[in-house]
Amino acid sequence: MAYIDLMFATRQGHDRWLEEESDWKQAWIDLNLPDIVRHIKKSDEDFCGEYLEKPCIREEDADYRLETMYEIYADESLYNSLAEYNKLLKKLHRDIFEWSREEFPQQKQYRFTRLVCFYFELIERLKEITLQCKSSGLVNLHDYCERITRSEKFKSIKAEAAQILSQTVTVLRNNALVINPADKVFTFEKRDPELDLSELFKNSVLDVFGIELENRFSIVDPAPLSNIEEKALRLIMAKNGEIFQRLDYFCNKSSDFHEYIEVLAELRPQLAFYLGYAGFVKTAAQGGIPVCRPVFRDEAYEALDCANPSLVAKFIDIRLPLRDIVRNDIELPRGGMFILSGPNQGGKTIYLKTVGLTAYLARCGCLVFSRRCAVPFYDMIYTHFMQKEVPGKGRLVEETERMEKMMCNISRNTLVLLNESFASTRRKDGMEIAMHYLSRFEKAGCSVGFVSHYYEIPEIYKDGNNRIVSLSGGIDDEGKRTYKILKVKGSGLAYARDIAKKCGMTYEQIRDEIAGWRS
Amino acid sequence: MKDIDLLFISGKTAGHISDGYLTDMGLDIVGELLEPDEYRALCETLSRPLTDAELIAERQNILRDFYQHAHLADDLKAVCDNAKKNEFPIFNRGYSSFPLDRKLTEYVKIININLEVPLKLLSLLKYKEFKSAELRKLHDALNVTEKLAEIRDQINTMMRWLLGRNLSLLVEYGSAFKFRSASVYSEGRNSKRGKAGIKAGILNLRKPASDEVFYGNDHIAELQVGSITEAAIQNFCSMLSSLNAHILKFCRKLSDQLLFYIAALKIINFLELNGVKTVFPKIGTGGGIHALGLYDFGLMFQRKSCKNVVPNDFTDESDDFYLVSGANQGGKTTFLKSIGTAQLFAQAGLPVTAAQYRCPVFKNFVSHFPRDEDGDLNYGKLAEELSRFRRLIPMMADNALVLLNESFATTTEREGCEIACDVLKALSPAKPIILFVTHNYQLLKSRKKLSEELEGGIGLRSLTVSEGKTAADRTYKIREGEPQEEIHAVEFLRSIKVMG
Repeated sequence: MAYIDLMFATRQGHDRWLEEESDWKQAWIDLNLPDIVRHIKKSDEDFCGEYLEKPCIREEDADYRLETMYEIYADESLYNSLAEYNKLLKKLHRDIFEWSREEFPQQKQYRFTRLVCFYFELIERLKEITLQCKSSGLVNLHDYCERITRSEKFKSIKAEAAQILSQTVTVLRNNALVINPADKVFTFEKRDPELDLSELFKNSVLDVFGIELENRFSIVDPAPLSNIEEKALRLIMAKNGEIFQRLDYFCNKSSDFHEYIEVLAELRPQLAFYLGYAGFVKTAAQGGIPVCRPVFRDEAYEALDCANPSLVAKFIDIRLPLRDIVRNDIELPRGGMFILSGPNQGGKTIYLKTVGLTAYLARCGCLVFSRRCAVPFYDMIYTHFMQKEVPGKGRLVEETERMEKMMCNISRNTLVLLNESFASTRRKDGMEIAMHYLSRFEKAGCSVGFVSHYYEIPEIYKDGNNRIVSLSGGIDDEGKRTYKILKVKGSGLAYARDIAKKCGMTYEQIRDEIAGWRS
Repeated sequence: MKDIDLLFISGKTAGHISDGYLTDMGLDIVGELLEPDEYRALCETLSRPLTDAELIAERQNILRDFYQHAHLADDLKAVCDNAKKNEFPIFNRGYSSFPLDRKLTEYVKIININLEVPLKLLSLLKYKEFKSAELRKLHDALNVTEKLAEIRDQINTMMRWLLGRNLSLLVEYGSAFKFRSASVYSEGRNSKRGKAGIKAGILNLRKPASDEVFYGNDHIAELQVGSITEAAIQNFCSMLSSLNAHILKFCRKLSDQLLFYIAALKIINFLELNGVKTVFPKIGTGGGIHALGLYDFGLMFQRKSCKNVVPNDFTDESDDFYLVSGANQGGKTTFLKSIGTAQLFAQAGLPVTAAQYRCPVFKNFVSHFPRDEDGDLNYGKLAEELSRFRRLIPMMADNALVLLNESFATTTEREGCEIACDVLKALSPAKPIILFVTHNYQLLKSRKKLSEELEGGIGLRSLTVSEGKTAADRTYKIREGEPQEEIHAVEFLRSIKVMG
C-alpha cells in the first residue's frame, strides 16, 4: 500500500524518530513550548502538539516540513481549503470510530459502505486542492490521490459502493412501526408520508391557532442497536433480502479496503499540525511580526529581528499590539558563548528563551519569527533554569548535579542555555563555579548562552583571552528598559530599585503600607 | 445531636499561612504516610493555625485522649462513615419511579438505621475518662437514648397511618374555599367493616351519616383524596429526608474533623516507631520562641530516624530579626523549616520534634522562598519575587512569623542588599519575627549599621552555620556568631564529588 506522510520525507525517517529516545522534556518546559501549544489549541483544538514535543532527528525531515509549512502559510486559498478539508477528515475519523465499534453485522456493513463512498469523495477533493502545489509533501499527496482515482479497480469499488448505498437508503425510507398492544406485536410497513396524521394535525393547529407543535420526539437509544431497532431491521431484511445479500457480498469482497481509509485518516493530525501552526504564524505576521523559513547552516546561528514565539502567543491571547514586542538579533557562532547581564526585568530571560525557542522550532520544521534566520541543526538544546528545591538537598548542590548530568551528553553540536545558574551561593564562589563550567563547555566546543549578573566573567575568564561576548540589556537615559540586547560590557548595575519601586517595595512604600494597615 | 466542633476553627480563633507555606516547609512528604483524605484534612487544619492558647490546649487534650484510648478516633469515624452510606436515594432515577408507599417504607427503614448512629457513637464514648471538655460535651450531646426512642415511635406510627391512608389532616385555606396546605393531624376513623361487607361492593355500603360525603361513586373526588394523601406521604418523606440529612451532615462533619486527629496520631505513631521524640509545646507563657533540641520534622520524616541528624537550639528573647548565613548545604534552610514547622504544629495542637518547645502564638505564618521560573513571562525573576513579597506585607505586619529564604538574590549583590535593608527597616515597626537565610555578603557586613536603623527596639542578629574542620565538613549547627568571610563552596562541591 502506498505510503503518504506529510511529516517525514521517508518512512525510515519516521521510524527513526519514533525509536530515538532523546530527552527534550526540560527544554520543552523551560522554553515555554506548552504555552505555544496551549495558545494554538485555543483556536484549533485539533492541533497536534506532539510534533513539537520531539523535534526532527534528521535535517532532511525538518526541511521537508518547512517546505510544506511555508507553502500552506503563504498560499491563503490553499490554507483555507485545507482547513475545510480537515473538518471532513474529522468526520471521517468519527465514522471510522462508529464503524469499528459496531457489532451488529448488517449495521457494520452499511457503515462500511458509507465510509467507502466518503473516502472517494475525500480523495477527489484532496486531489483538487493539491493540484497546484509545489512542496514535496503536498505534491506526493496529490500524486497519491491521482493514482487512486485512475485505478480501474478503485473505480469499480466506488461505483458498486455508491449503488448499494443508494438502494439501502431507499429501503430505509418511509417505514412505520405498527404496534398491536393486545397481542403485544408491532410491524413495519411502508407508508405515504403525505398521510402522516400528526403532521396533518400539526398543520391544522398552526393554521387555526398559530402555534407550532413539535410532533417529533427523540427515541435515541445509547446502545449501538437497541432491541427494538434490531427487530425492525430484521423485518426490513426479510422483505429486501437481495439488497442485503449484495451488501454482504460487497463488504466481504472489499474488507481490506479499510486500510486505505485509515491511511487517509492518518493525515488529519498532520494537517492539523500545519494548519494550527500556520494559523498562529499568520496572526503574528498580520500584527507586524516578521516571519521566515529558517535555513540550517553549520557555521553560526544568526537571526535578524527575532521575536519570542511564546511572547507573541501571549500578546495575541491578551490582545496587546504585537508591534510592541521588542525584537532582537541573535549572533552565536558555532562553539561561541555569550554572557548577558544588565537590568532586572530588561528582557534577559526572554532573549535567552528566544534563542532556544527559535532553534527548537526550526528543528521541528516550523517557521520562526525573524526577518532572516540561519541556525545550526543542534543535536540537543540543554537548558539550566531555576527549578524547585529538592528536599534534603541544597539548591547549589541540586544545580551542580543537574549541570554534571548535562555534561555527560554535550557535544560540539549542542546549544546550552543557562539562566542565572550558581546564584545560590556567595558571589565569589558562584563566579568560580560558573567559570569552571564555561571552560568545560569550551573544551567540548558547544555553543553557550548565559544570563547572569556575573558580568565580569568575559574580562576575568582566562585573563580576558576568551571568545565570550558580553551582551547587556538596554536602558535609556531616563532609566527605562528598552528590551534591546546590545553588544556592550556589563556595568554591574541591575537597576533593581526601579523594579522595587514599581512593585511597591521601597522603604517609604512599605512603611506607608504598614502604617495604613496598622491604623 | 447539636453541632459539635473538635477543631475550633473560625475567623476569630484562627490565623493564616501564606500560599505555598506547607510546601516550603517540606510538608508534602507527609502525604506518603497518610490516606489522601487524611492528608487533605491535615493540610486544611494546618492552614488555619489557632491563635487562642486555650483552644490549642484543648486540641492537645483531645489528641492526648485519642492517643490514650487507642482506636477510639478510628471507631468513631467508622460509625460516621457507615452512616454516610445511608442516604435517601432521591437522585436515583430508578428510585423516583417507585410507588410512593414503597418509597415511604424505604425512607423509614433508612431513618431507623440512622437513628441508631448516636447510640453507637455514645457506646464508644461511654465509661471513658476524658481530659478534653469537648469530648465530654460530645458524650453529653449523644446521651439522648429515651428521646430517640420517642422519635422512632412517632415515625413508625405516622408511617402506619399513611400506608393505611387512615389519617386526618390539618388543612390551611388559601384564597376563599381553596385548600392551601395541610398537615398530618391524627389517625383517621377507620370503620371496621367485615370481609363480607367489602366483598359485597358498593351496593352494600352503609349509608353515610349526615356529616359525611360519599365519594365512592365519584371517580374524580376519589382521585383527589388519593392525591392529597399522596402529598402527605411526600411531605412526610421530605421531613424524614431533612432529618436524615441532618444526621448525615453531623456524621460527615465529625468524620472530617476526626480525620485530622487520625492523621496526627499516625504521624505521632510513625515518629515513635522510628525513635523520634516529640513534645507538646507550652503555648503563650510569655517571651519568644524557645526551642531546645529542635529537629526539622520534614527531614526526620524523610530519613525515618533522628540518627545522624543534628538538632538545633533557638531562643528569641526580644523579637529580633535574624540573618542566617554560612556554608552551602550547611543546614540553613533546614533550620528555617524546623522553626516554621514546629511553630505551625504547635498552633495546630500537635506535638513537635524537639526536647523542649515554648512559644507565643502568631496570627500569620509567612514564607518567601524561591519559586520556579515564571513560565507566563509576566515578570522578570526579581519583579516576580518582589511582587510576591509585596502581597505578603499585610500578613507580615500583623503578628507574623516571617521566613525568608534567599530573598532578593535575583539581582546584583549590591542592589539585593539595598532592597533587603529597605524591607527590614520598613517592617521593623510592625515587629514580626523574621528569620532570613541569605548569601548576600554585603548585607551581612552591614548588619550592625542596619541594626541601628531598625525601629521599635528591634535588633538584627546573626546566626551562622558552625564551621567544620575542613571545607567538606558540615556541623549543621546553627549558632549566634559573626558571618564567615569564606564559605568554600567550590571546595565543598569538589569534596562531595558533585562537581567534576
